[in-house]
Amino acid sequence: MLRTLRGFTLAAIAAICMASAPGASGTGTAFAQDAEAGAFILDLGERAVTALTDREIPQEERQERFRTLLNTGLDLEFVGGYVLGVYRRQTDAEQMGTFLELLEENIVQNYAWRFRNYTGEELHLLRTREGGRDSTIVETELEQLGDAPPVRVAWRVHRKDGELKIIDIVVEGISMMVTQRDEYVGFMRANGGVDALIDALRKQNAALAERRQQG
Amino acid sequence: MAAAVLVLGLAGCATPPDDPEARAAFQETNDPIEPVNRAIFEFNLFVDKTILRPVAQVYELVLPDLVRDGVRNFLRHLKTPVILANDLMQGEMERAGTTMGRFIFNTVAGIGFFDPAGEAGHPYHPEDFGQTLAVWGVGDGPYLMLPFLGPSNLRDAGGFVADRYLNPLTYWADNSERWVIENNAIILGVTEAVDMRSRNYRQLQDLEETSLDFYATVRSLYRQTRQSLIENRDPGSDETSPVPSMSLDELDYEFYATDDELVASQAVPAE
Repeated sequence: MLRTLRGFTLAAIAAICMASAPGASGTGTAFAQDAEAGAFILDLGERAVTALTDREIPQEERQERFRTLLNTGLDLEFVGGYVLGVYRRQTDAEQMGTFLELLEENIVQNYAWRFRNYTGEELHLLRTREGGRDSTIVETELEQLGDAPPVRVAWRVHRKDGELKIIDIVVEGISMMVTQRDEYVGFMRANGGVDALIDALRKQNAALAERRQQG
Repeated sequence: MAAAVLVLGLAGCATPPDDPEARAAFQETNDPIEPVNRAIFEFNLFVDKTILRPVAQVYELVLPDLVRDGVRNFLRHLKTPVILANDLMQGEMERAGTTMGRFIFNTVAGIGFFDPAGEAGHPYHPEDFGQTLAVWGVGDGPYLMLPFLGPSNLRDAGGFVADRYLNPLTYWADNSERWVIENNAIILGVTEAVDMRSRNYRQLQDLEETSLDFYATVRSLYRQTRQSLIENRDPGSDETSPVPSMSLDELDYEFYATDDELVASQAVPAE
């Protein structure tokens, strides 16, 4: 259980501390559904490290750069629809629009600042394989400092309007999207649906923003 | 004790909500005694904040990594009989061999406190009777939050009891007059909890702070970890698939199922 939590947090960190290894190549036989998927992930990782890990840039700048990368790399609409779970059916277009904005802000607030503490862990490509439903799974390994074993991070990607986009990040068997959905659905069931979630996200974003300002 | 749990359980049964979305979510989570579970979760968090976390922080501060790793290695070492028995019951001969080999090597070359076998590329893997039952085809059963012990489900709680009977230390305790031996299960359990907590408190704090429903997050993480353990998708293994296969089925289900399929898929719990 606690191991999982460690894994989960590492997932979050992995999502940000991606770095590409110059010598990385597919070690397994690649039955890639999408031949560009592996390169896409490594390239995104490299761009994240280049843009975000400078300790000198102010927090707001880091957040905006992260947002840009997020918009390039993540299929936010797909993820947003998924994490609402069964509640997606009763979410109207206006609520969905608000929710997606808040979700994006939430991801930025939660993750952008972590890049500051990036210490050079490298991301290696292990293999890519077909993920079904026109998705491709990119399996990678994130090196750890010291003698801790590397963390395995899998990225599920698909094409949206011709562009590759991430739809899930799975760290040591823990899917971030499934975890997020279970959290949101649990919350909505206990607190009264999508509007309650929107309120809570708005409050949390404000609180996070305040905390990041201080620290 | 069991009767008390049962009574509590029945009294705390949540009634399925009227709202169709909420009802679908209710059935999907398979957590019929959620109100009771949430109360126990609050209790566990209280125990954690007041006792476990402070103790774990002191433990981390006072003892060097070497000692803490030694403690963890020793605790794992003592679990060998249970892990081995479950490896065998699952028909995992290779993993049983690893467990046995690790035990011999770590006893001789590591006196139980070091893990030379792990460093030589034969890492530790946990195994328990809950996992064995799952391999035999037993479903999760309803989700349970156990006092002090944390998240579980009916199958894994049963497995926890069965593992006690697989453990030679239980019989040693039964036949000993010495306090330390008699209570070894509790002492080892508490030590393990402190050790684990000392390794995770930053991550847990992070998670608790950012989750809108920490109870639901923990429930989700428990399910996914157990699934990962059951399928033996260990960190560091050569298995090709660290990705839960369920993930995509759920994608299909969420995005493409019609209402009829939704009802049908809920009648038969997906594995």
